[in-house]
Amino acid sequence: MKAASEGNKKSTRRFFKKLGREKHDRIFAIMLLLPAIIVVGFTTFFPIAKSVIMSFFNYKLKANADYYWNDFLNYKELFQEGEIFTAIGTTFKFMIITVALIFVIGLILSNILNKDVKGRAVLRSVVLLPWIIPTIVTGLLWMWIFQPQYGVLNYLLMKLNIISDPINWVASMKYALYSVVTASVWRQIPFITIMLLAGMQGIPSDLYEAATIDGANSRQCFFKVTLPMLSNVIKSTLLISIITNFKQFPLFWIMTGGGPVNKTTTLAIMTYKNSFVNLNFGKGAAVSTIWLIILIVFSAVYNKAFKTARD
Amino acid sequence: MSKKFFKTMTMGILIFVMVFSLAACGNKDNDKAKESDNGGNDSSSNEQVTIQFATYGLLEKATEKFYTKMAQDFEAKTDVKVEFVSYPYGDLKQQILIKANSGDAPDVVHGESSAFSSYLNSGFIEPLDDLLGAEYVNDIYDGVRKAMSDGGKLYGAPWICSTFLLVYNKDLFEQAGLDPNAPPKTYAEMIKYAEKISELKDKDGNKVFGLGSSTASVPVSGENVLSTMLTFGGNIYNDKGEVEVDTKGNLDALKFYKEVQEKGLNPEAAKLKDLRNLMAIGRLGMYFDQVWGTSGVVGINPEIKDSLAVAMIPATDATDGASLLAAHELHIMKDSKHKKEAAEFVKYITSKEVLEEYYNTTLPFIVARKSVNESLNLNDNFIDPVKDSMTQVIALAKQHSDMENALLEITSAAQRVTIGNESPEDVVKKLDDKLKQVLK
Repeated sequence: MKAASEGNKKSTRRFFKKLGREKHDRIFAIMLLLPAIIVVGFTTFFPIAKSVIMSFFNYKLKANADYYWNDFLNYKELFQEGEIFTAIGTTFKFMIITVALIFVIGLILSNILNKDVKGRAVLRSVVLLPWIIPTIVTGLLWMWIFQPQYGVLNYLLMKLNIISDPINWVASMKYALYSVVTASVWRQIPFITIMLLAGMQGIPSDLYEAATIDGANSRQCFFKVTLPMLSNVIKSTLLISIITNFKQFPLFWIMTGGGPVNKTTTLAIMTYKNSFVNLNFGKGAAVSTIWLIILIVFSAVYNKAFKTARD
Repeated sequence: MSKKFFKTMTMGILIFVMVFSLAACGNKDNDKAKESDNGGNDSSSNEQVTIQFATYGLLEKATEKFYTKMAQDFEAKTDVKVEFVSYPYGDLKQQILIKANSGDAPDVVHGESSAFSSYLNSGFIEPLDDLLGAEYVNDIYDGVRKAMSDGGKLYGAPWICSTFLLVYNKDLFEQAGLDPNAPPKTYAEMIKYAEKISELKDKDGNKVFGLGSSTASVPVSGENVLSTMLTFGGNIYNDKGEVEVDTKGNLDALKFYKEVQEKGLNPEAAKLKDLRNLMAIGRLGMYFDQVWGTSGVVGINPEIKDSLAVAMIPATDATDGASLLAAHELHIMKDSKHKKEAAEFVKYITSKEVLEEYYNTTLPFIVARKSVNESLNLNDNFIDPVKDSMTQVIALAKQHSDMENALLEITSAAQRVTIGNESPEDVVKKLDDKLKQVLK
């Protein structure tokens, strides 16, 4: 028994000697990473793969339901009905406007907070407030503000004689999307501000001193020093914001439910309605697969564009 | 201690931790499976039977005490234990269907009319005719029974019910020179009343709306709009059970929405809770709601209680007033191992004794069983004018699994003619096309 285990040990040692040190370390590294890879695979890639596979099947939440390959019927129906195109358009419109606004406002705010202004500590705390509030509460809060008959926004606008009659912000074909954009911008400004501020504080002060000695004014310092030095932070922060707004669901569901007349129906709302209102998980998965492809393509193009701009 | 030893130890520990945690997960699942297999035990054993009741009632302050007491009383009466499976209102249906799909269904489910078609078409609920008995089933108002049946079989027991009713503010009626004890009998009369009320201003000089009819992008607003369509003689199905929306009745209903919008009588695209708020602050003369909605109004402003009154839906040239059923209903799940005890529980909580206590401790409602409705002693004359409202219930010809989606399309149609400014003739055609697609 003892002799056999000694033999095993020897053969293992011989095996690793043959491999060489480098390969041996590589195998060891893989073994160390394996638990994490398995866990991430199970928790992330497995559900994604399952969702993609589901999108090609008839998959309804029914007793004794037949789950069968349905010859791309989920996709055919989506493209025939045509609402998916409107939803993609609305999703992009919402995402672009929101990200543009939070970036510009966040940049201005972080620039102010980066300077030695009075009450900077208080300002930093105040800026963080919307980020602390849960999204659902944010939605309800803004619905209350936008309420046409007794909402504070209409009250103020009418008191200031800016409007003569109350506007139904959330239920208006014209303003519904922008109402959700407003709530979303308010909620996300702190995140982008803090990220950019952290980036700004990492810029060495001697770069500004050198620029000033060379005769650069504050505007030139901002465009020639601050922005280039922030490019990595901007790149990752913008990408996070793009993804966050691309999949924005709670604000839409609480504030508009995708209405009026589907004016605020995004891909997230479409996925939810198909899966949890109609209980058609196959069709819901098809919407989310299309959504996933769009996001992957968009991220790839985005990264390429950033790389090209930097080069 | 060599480097090699540390490497081997580290790797060994990592692998052990991973295997152990996966095994622990597996054990947890097994335990759960065992628990649900034994859930309530077998009726034939001598152990106490436990039935699971899935509801959101325990999570709501207004009903929490009543539900707890109801379960305790039932246990004292029958020795059957009631275990609550609680989910928030908005999550209940999907959670139950997911549980049922994974073989972990509760015994009794607290459903509601807007989700009935989903439960029915899921195939997870049991027909109740044999379980509840012919006497119980025949005691349910015809329209209600049809609304909860499919293929002649009853799939839901009505618990607390309502139609859409006309809720009105008697003080505003008086201020507008109208008789507070004579609500409008017809739609034409109702519009005239609404015009008079709309001329009023509240004490702060704000506009008072004459009439509220919810058209927001939520299924319950779709039920309200569809009830208006039924009142005008419309429907979404024809006599053959085919989808047919391009009809005179539906067109008249959309014209009604257009008219009240153009006259500025109706708060546009409002949710029911918006209308309740407006009623509570005295800025709405009349609105359509289910009877329990009045407790929401009183909750916002208790002082308005004595000014509130309810009336049946006014008549049109086509009907004497009609409505879809709005009901909290009880389903027994197909996979229940204790169907007999579940049926006993359903009978108990829909009995006169329990319903009287429910009404007096929580909120107003109408009862859908004739004998109970007639003998109910509520010490409250608030619902007397609408006690016969169950006779206004019209059941749809079919229970389609995509009905909630259809209801959202119906609210979209109402929005198109109001805030979208489209013509009712165009919209009724668009709705016809859309519903033929959704309800195929």
